[in-house]
Amino acid sequence: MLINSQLVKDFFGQYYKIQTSRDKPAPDALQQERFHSSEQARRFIKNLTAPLSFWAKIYHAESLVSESIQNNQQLLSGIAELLSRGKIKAFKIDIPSLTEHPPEKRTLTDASKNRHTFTAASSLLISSPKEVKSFADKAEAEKYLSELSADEAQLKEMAQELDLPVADLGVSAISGLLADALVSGSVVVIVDRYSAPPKAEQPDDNTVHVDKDAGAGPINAAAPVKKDICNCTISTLEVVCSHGRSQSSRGILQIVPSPDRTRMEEYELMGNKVTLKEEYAGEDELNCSLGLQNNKGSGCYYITDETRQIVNSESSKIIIEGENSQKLEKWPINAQPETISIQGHGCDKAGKTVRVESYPSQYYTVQADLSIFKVWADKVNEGWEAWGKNIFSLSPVQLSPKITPPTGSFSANWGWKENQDWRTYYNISSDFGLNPILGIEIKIVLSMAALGLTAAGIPPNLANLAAEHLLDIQLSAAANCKAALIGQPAGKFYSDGSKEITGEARFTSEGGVVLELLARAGSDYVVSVSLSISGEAKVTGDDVVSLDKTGLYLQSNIMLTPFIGVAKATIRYFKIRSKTKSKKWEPWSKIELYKSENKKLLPR
Amino acid sequence: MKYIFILKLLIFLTMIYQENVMSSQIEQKKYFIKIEMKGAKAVVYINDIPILRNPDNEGVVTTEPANLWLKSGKNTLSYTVFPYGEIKEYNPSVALSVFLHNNKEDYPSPKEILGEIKLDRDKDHEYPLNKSIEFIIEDDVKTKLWNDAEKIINLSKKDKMQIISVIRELSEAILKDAERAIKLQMYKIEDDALAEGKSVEKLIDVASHSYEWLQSQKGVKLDNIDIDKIKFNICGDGQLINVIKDNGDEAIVYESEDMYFDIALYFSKINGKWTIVR
Repeated sequence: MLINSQLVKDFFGQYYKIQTSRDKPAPDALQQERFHSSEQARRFIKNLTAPLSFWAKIYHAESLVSESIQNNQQLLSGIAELLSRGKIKAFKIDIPSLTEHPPEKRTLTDASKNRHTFTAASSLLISSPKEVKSFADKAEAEKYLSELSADEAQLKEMAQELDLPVADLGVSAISGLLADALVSGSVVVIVDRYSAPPKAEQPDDNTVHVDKDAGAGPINAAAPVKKDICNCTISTLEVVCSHGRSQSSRGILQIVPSPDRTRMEEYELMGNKVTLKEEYAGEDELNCSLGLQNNKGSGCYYITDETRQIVNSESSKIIIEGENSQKLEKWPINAQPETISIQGHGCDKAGKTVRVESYPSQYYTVQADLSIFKVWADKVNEGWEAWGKNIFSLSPVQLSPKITPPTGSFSANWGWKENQDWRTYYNISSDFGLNPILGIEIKIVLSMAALGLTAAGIPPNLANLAAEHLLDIQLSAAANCKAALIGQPAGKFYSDGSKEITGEARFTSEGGVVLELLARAGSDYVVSVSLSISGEAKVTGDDVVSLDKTGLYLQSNIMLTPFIGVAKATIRYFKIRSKTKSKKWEPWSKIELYKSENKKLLPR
Repeated sequence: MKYIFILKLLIFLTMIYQENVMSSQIEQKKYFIKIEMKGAKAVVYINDIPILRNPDNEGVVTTEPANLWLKSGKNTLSYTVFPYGEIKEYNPSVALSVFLHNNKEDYPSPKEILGEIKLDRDKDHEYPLNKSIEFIIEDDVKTKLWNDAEKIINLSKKDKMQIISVIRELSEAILKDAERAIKLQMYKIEDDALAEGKSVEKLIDVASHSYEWLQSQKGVKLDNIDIDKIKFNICGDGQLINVIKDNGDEAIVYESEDMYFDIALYFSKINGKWTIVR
């Protein structure tokens, strides 16, 4: 029989008796520890300080046939399974209470010099007395007590030693209290007949023996109990994540488990299917450490989290796992963190708490095909055609623009990230490398006579010329524009509502519209026509890319600045120019080539 | 049968005639200079002759006939960009090209680029900036000026007075006596007709109409010509004198109520006499 070697202690100093089905049944009055699942039993086992060899003995003592254990995990799983099924039982024992109350104060001697020792039922778990008195009812118990002829002082002292609430009760009441305890079985009487030889130098069978190093393994029945004397108090509790970050001065640490799985999904951007890389699951390991004052090393301090994973080491590790699900939120900016409250205590019960907030680990990256911008660029180019049509009354066929499609790259990534300090933030990063995002070349040629019928009209100075001479002048308009969208706009959005926006996607353009007035080669009258230009027609884009908490937006607001020029004609044999600047020719004011809705690029 | 033969002969002769006319048109080569300037205070030269001045930093786009300025053989195309305003904000752009016109096109259109020059913003940022290139015209350029004009090294006061005298006479004649004005510019008109393959009579007719139109403008008057404010620029390898006002304006400027009319003036000494040649 294993008996006392089946006594183990947990990290908090609580003793348990592990009872196999081969052991003598425990008194009915004792409640075994209940486990709702093998996982719960497994956590219970992990908090006990018994070595694996102890569990191996228990496991083999319980097994009907010898089974080979492949590894430690299998052993502990087997024990946990036995515990949860009730095949083996764990009973809580108050060893300090037993040892603090010597049996002398709980022992009465009858007329035959037989010794009757009153003790807590749990003491039967760690001793094997020869005779244990039992009682059918209260009357029998009261009769038994009266026959022992104990006086009031003896009964009161004995009841106090048994932790019964005697207070100011009289002798009959105390006797009734003891009788109730005897009938319920919470208190038992061990009878030592006078004939039994005295064992002054050896411990009695009903003496509790525990290992002086209890807590490091199963209890050695050969050694007497020594109570740990410690009055430690906690000074610090530090929680450090696996990336080396620790909590704030207010005791908060926000973390993001490092994802360790990847999968690809189909995603939609600007109406186009693209591949989305999703990193998810993973874990973060929290290293918790206590700072203690007056620590005697007795192990009475502890660290705990809300799941009651508790250790009595000055340091411990807690694993926080990222969500591992088939369907994860694709834009988890509003996700509520999983909160874990980690507490550290000394034996004076004073405590410190660190609140760990674990944010979703999923992180997304998308590399887009440039076709997503083609529709947008086409719209801008349509704006050019409208310009030719509205200003110069030309048909799309007459315009026949040469369009350069978008080339380059676009990528974006988003999800929660850890800041260098204790905080986390929702990160949105994008990289626009579109050069060009659009390109167009248009050549327009119009006779001055035809120009007079359009919205552009005839340049003021030339209106003085006779119609026949106007026929010798031609307008040539060349729109040659290449625009790029380049930059890395990024945003960090913290849980307190603060944000940091860095970088920007800059829309730049080269070229614009060049207008030229030409005199017919060989004209007798008009030698040349020049345009002095005070307003250069350029393509500009305003706030094309914007970023906020709700996503990444692309707003195409592409403008063409006005062309402002003064025409000068050289005829034979002098030049004609205007006397005032009011004679400027402005065929168009600022033109909106294209303005879209503020289209959300991310999330879809 | 006989009539058919005569008819075919007539058609054949007509075709030969048309081909001759067309080939004559094709042979008439036209050269142009295309000037594109943005934000540049600059002067453009062909063969060291200033042909366009941009007095401020506004942009200019123009395509000008160049036959009158070119020679057979080696030519130069150049520009000078002058400083203007704050150097940090000054970002001039200049692009020049001389090209042979494609005669199949009605409007100046390059058949062949003979020479081109651009301002390189990355390299060129010290002003005044002078840039020049040479190019070759292998064909015969039909002008007589380069053979007729004497080379001038210095202008005497007498030379200047004679030139001013011609300018004053012309400026008055344009408003009052178109025939006299044309006579004063006959060398220029003849060389113009020669260079562009036109008839002298046609150009005289055009000039007459132009001057009549100018005279008809409301309130037209001549700006004062102050000899002390006239500049005489020897250019074109000493064969031309470009006469301008010291503010960069042309020497002769008329103004009406809302218009200016400028006359560019280039003189050469032909047969010992100061003559308006361009």
